[in-house]
Amino acid sequence: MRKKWLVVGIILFISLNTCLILFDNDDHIDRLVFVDKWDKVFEEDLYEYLEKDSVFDYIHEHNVYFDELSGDFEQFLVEEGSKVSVGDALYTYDVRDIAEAKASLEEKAQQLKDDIVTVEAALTKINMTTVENDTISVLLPDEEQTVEIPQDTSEANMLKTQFIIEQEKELERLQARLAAVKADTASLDREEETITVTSPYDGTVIKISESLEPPLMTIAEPQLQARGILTEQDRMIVNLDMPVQLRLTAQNVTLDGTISAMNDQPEQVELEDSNHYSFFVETEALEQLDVPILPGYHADATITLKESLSASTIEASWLFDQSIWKMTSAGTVESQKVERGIQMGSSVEIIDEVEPGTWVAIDVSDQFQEGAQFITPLKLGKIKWHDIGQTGNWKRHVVAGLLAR
Amino acid sequence: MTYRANVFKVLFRMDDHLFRIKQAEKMHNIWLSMLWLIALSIGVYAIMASKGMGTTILSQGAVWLSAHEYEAVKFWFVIGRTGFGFIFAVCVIFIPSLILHYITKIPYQKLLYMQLVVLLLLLLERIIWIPLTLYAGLDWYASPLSLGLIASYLTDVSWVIYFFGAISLIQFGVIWFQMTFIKRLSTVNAHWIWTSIILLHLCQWALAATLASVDDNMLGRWFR
Repeated sequence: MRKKWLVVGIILFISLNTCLILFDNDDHIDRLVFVDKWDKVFEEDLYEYLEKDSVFDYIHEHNVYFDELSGDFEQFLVEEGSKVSVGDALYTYDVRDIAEAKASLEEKAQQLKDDIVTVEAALTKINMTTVENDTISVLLPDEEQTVEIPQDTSEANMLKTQFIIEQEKELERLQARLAAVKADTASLDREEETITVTSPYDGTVIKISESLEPPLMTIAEPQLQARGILTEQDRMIVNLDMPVQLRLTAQNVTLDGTISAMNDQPEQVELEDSNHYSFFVETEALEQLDVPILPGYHADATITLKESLSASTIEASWLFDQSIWKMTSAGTVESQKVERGIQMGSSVEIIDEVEPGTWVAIDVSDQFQEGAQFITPLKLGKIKWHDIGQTGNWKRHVVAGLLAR
Repeated sequence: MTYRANVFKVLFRMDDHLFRIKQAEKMHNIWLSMLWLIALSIGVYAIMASKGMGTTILSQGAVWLSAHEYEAVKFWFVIGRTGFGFIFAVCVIFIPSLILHYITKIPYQKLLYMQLVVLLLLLLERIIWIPLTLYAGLDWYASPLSLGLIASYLTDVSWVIYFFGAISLIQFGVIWFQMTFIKRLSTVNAHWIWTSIILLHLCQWALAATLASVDDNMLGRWFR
């Protein structure tokens, strides 16, 4: 009989205590946290990439037109694929009205002469300006001494030289075209009836319209760029100057470049379908490669949307409800809410004041309570046994073990 | 007659065993049982320490240590704990029995035997602490079997919480066992027995509370 009461009494006692634990809202009871697995916040360079397909194509294409009214078309002097320079003959036609043709040539010649004058003037002016070697004098705070800081003029000089080179090239081009026009005029004077039209551009003839539909021909300048297509969602997140890496798998070549342009206009605005916007990638000089890059070559383009170098990083699995459980120097665990940044694979950037090297508990159970002291099991594997005798203060820890209850 | 020591069976067939113990002139196998109980004590404490129990004192500042350093610190702690396991067993076996021997005049060997059973019960208490700490995050003084939880609600004074935390259902069981044993084997006044056993336990609980109050700062001062 008494035994029954004893058992009942014991059960009641334990139940009371259990209730005290479960309904401890004011933290009367010290809690512990058993942490079996933990790791540290580390530093990593994180990137967010967008993969797109791209293809190499000409940057500048120029159309050449033939005015039916100026004469009867005779023949093409180049083929599709022919390389032409400024002044090379493209096609010939029979002049219908010599006077009109001559007048038109005169007009062209005059225009060219005007252009040449402009360029020559620009060249003269730039040659006259010298880049000033300005030295800036700075008065020091003690108001006694002055420091002379010479301004670096090398960049200005470089720009000047570059400008001169471009203008000289343009001058050459214009002079070549003027010479061609003069030759045409000369042949008209000799009462020849056939005019030869020469190329105003350097490049490759990429299209010839045999049926004489305008444009008559298209000449593309040799510079290439890579272009691809962005979807509506992509277009919103890609910006100019984002770095792009192009991998030509068939040619085993990798190039670095940047987004040089993007179309604001889709090829054709669709309501029912998705809209596509072109993007263009400018790369380093293609001529310097061992492998010639031809138009039409495909490349996998990796656009770097975002980058964060030496970011505080954690594994995504360490996050519990937008927070991580930090282990503090006071020996307790603390939950810290963190803001997520770039995610690359399983690594997540945290944008918060959490220093790399902070301990984070990985295996979080219901037991975890804010401010509870943590205990960890002994991990023999991590001990370097030959150093064990040198542990500072080992006696203190042995005594701690002897005196704990 | 000779009584053959069997520490487990005493708890299950108490009347029978107590009767035979009283009659026995010689106690057989005591030293063997003693040895393996001491070994058990060392083992239990070593396991508890390896699991990290009791290492809250080491957690402060642990984040500044390298992995090797932290584990080395815990290792030495485990060594200390193992030592404690030995000292604990020895104290439980020999000291109360000595004191009670002077008071009750029961042969020392028989009292030693009684303490072996007590030690077994105490080790059982510690084994229960293991899942309590590892799975429920409750330290020994917050065990639902003890008075520590109630004390935590009533006061903030650590020593008092530890003192009441040391008083558990198993402690009551030990007291009851010792009472029964001594009453059977001695003719001393029941009140005397009662008083001495209670006093003995009060001292043990106070000692436990004091040990538990040693914290990191104190150790720091001693080892400066």
